[in-house]
Amino acid sequence: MSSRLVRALCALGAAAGFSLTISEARPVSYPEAWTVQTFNEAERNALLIHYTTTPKAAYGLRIEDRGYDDHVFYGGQHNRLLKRWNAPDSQANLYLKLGAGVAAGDFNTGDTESKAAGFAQIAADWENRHVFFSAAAGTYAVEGAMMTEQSARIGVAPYAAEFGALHTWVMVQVDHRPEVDETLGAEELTVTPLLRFFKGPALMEIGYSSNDEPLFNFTYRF
Amino acid sequence: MKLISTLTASIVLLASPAFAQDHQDHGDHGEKHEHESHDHGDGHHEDMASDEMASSEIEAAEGRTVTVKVNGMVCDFCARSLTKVLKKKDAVEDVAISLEDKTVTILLKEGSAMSDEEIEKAVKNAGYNLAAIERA
Repeated sequence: MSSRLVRALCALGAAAGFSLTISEARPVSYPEAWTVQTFNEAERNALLIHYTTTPKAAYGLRIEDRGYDDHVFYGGQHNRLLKRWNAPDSQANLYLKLGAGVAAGDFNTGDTESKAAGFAQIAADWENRHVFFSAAAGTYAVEGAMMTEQSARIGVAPYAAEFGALHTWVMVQVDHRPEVDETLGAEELTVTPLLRFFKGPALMEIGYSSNDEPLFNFTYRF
Repeated sequence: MKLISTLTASIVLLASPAFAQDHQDHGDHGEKHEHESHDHGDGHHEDMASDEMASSEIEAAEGRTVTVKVNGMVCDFCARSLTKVLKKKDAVEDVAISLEDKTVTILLKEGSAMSDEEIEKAVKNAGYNLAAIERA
């Protein structure tokens, strides 16, 4: 699959940074549900399609164009709900996300090559109908290189919507990527205010980061 | 500098009175009751046109409704998950959700029944916990 085609696919929607971040809303859905997610920011675009087999496991395919690192990741992804705490007025979750595949591109060296790649991330969230918190930490590894990333989000809902109505959240996301090459235009720490809207099976997020990068994420479940 | 200004703007936005929360207490109501039941398979059927049938419409069908209080149902995706899982049950004609009350109202088909255990299993299979069951 050409890099141009990948970019075209990913341009269907969008995400915050190495999109294993916090932006992956509900990484495990309900049994037999398909989820299509697109993530996009200026130099990082991803498409993830996954299928939930049990209330605790989802399996999918991921394509991620990592512009700053000048390569595309193609691989499989497994999302596992490690623990859920259901309370009368809130819910908390602990997730593990694992991926493995191939990274293909120039890697900012000028020589096109393919390398084995993989990632692991632990993510946690807590929410009620008014407030949302989440945090995640992960590692992305390509032969000979390892990148770590931490993210956090806080959000508030200006109103509590009923089932089927438009739900709106005002959120702020912080991403920390200590290994990024700032000479390529990336920043180690970015703050992204964003708005999340969801109605029915569709969820959309739009934001703009401190690194002057627009954010657009889209999720659809069926 | 850009980072600081963005962070400041974010804090101001989040602290704005426009986004003040409308706090409401939701008590846990109802007791779990035991009921006679019949066994049903897990067959699939087509979803009805509307996923958001009004609770009042369902409650009007006296004798065929089960109201379930659910822990952890805090968002639309939660409600959608419960709806999808419950509607796959042969005995279920329709489902109505109230996020405000944290309740799922199940309309059973004529002549059908679901035991408390079946309902609890379905709620758990959607990823949530049953707090109470009330039958009309």
